[in-house]
Amino acid sequence: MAITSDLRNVPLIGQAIQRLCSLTPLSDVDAHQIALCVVEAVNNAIVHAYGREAEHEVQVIFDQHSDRLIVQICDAGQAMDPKHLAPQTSSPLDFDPHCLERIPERGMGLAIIRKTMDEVTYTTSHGRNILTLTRFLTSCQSSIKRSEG
Amino acid sequence: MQLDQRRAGDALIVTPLEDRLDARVAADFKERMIELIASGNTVIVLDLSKVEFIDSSGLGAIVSSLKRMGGRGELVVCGLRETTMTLFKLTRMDRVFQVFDSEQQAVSALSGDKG
Repeated sequence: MAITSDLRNVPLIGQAIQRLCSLTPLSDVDAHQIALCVVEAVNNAIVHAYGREAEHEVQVIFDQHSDRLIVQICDAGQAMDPKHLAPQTSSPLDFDPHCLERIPERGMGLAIIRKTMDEVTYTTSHGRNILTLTRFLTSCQSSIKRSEG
Repeated sequence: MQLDQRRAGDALIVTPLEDRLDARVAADFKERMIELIASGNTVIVLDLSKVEFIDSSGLGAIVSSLKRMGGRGELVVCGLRETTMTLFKLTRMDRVFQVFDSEQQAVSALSGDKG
């Protein structure tokens, strides 16, 4: 599916992904969380890759396998700095909740994605950026990861 | 975006009447909340019972509102659904905001705080 790069179009994608996830063994909450991750990724594509310019395309590809869901968010805008996905990059969610000024107001989208999905990769090739989000459906590894998060 | 506002004792109950608090409406929501805070409301209960979906922009706008209070008042949250509560927990905002099941519980707890 594809939308033009307008934030008003993003709910359509979120609702479609949630509906597709509801057809899998995932719980309703998990389906909601995956839809949230896709919304965050599409928002980032519109705001950061395209600088909020309208009339560009953001494509979302949903692929269900027997053991995993793979969602790809594709744009042709400014590429993201790969350091944002580096394992050693500190998360904005590692804040002191008692220190008001350190509580993040922005930059949480990618952190939410990293905490929710089992694998997150980002590639750029021939001017096309692809964020690939993977969620395992059957492994207990994923539920352990999230419960520890 | 549409916000319902009403008083319950010293508290202002603010209820967003949208089902999504997301990047489309976050800036507008933040501006409206800041206006309410600037006009002297220091005890606010944010009732999110009608909101089905919050993204990081919406959550950031709630955090901005809390920061705008500057520690001189109370901004608490009530009415979270299972899905939106999951976002608060995932982002650790459940450790930042007092979260109540209902508006009545929030108002009662805030009245107790005063006493």
